[in-house]
Amino acid sequence: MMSKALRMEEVAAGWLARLDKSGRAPEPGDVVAAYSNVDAEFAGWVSASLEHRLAFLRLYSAWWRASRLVVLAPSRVTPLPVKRWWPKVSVAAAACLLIGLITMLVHYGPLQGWQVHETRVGQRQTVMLPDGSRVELNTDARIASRVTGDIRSVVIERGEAYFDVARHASRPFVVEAGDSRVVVLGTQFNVRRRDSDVKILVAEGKVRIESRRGNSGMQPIVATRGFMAVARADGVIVEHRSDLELAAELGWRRGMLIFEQRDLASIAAEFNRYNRIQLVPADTDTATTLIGGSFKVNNVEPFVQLLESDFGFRAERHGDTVLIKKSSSE
Amino acid sequence: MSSCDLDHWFVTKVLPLEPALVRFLRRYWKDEADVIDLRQETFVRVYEAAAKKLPRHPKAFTFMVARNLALDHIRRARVVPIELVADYETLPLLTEELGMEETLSIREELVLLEQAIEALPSRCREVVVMRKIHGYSQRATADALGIAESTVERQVMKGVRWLADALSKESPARGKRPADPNDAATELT
Repeated sequence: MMSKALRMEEVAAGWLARLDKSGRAPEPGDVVAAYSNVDAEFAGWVSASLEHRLAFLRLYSAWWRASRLVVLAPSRVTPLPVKRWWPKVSVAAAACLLIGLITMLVHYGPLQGWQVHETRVGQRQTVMLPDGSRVELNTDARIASRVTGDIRSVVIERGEAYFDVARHASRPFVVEAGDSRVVVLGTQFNVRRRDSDVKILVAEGKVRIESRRGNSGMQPIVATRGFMAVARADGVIVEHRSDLELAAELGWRRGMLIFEQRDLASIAAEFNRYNRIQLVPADTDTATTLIGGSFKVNNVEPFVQLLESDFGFRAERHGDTVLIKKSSSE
Repeated sequence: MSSCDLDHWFVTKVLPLEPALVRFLRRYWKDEADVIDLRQETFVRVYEAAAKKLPRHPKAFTFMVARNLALDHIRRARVVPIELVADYETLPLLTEELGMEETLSIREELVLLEQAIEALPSRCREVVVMRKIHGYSQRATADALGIAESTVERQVMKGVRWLADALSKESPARGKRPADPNDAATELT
């Protein structure tokens, strides 16, 4: 004989699942009113008896606590379940949406073999994968990796990573970032992802770059040393980089930012990835000034002083922001 | 007191008592269905009473309600459960129940949550992880996992009940704090 409360709970669970679609969760004190406003049928059910209301609250409270705990937890990481991309599926896979809200996550051991690695702003870390491959993570990055007997997979959620893939004739190494997929057998390459923009740079060997979307119409590209593929929402551009430019792009691995006459706006943007202190060019004149040189990624202050002493800029400090303007403009 | 405030009070002061409450009820009923029904009925009575006047000591009040309900249940059933202690007429409320610090620390809640999620069946777990831990919407979860939205909804249904049961279990073993004399209710006579 099933408990009456259990039967009611099943109904309550149905309501919760039906109403909790968006991921935005009202506090337990407000949920009944909030959901009643949205769904008249629910309003009828929940107000019909206290038993309904309390059965619902019991479930909702646990559901809500689960997300709260995640926010309050000390920084640990949890694997991101990923749709299997092989064998070929007839339905086109949609791009994964960004994870905006949750900044701190719960660790509870590998979920089906996925390991997650993450760096803070300004931090760099090298991760050794079980197959002998090395992954260098740059500032503010997050990846998930899984190595099985058949395949070695990495998913880049955000940030930049340099891959030194151990050669394995029968086990492909696959990196997925946004809509792009890089397939190699053994080689070295750099992938940088920010939202839907993915930049892939090959340092050594050969990689195959393809789209994860079944209907993209994009042909796979085989890229070798020096090739850079930039994938945006509207398409992919492939360029070739000289050895010098390659070294500059990969300077971060040695903790350096290297620029060959780049506009201050993009230099500032690069520095800002690594530091809490954010540089902001005050006007177009300042933003378009070309600057070259090598700088340590974390040395924002010396860089600002250099701008003042050597380039005639003036820096105004407001809390965590440094406004840069030409000293001639008043 | 508005129903919002009452809900909030109920969720923060009464629901956390569930593990101790169920432990108490289980000493007298082996039938899990009975225990759950009594638990829910206790909650309903406490909520109703609180709507009229908020109890000053929710913990003691809840246990008093549970005790009275249990007594009623026994009398109505007219069958004395064999496991019942000899002095069931008085059904003493052991100070141990009142004494244990029920509020879990964040750390303990986390451990419970981890264990709960790990114990979920795999498809359910994938969905719960994406929805709860990664904050994906139902639609985004369906897209990312390559399943129908209705499947996601079904798994959420399953997962939420599982989580609610898991999070209302005993706290992981730890030292119990002695009873706080301020908690002991004069209402318990």
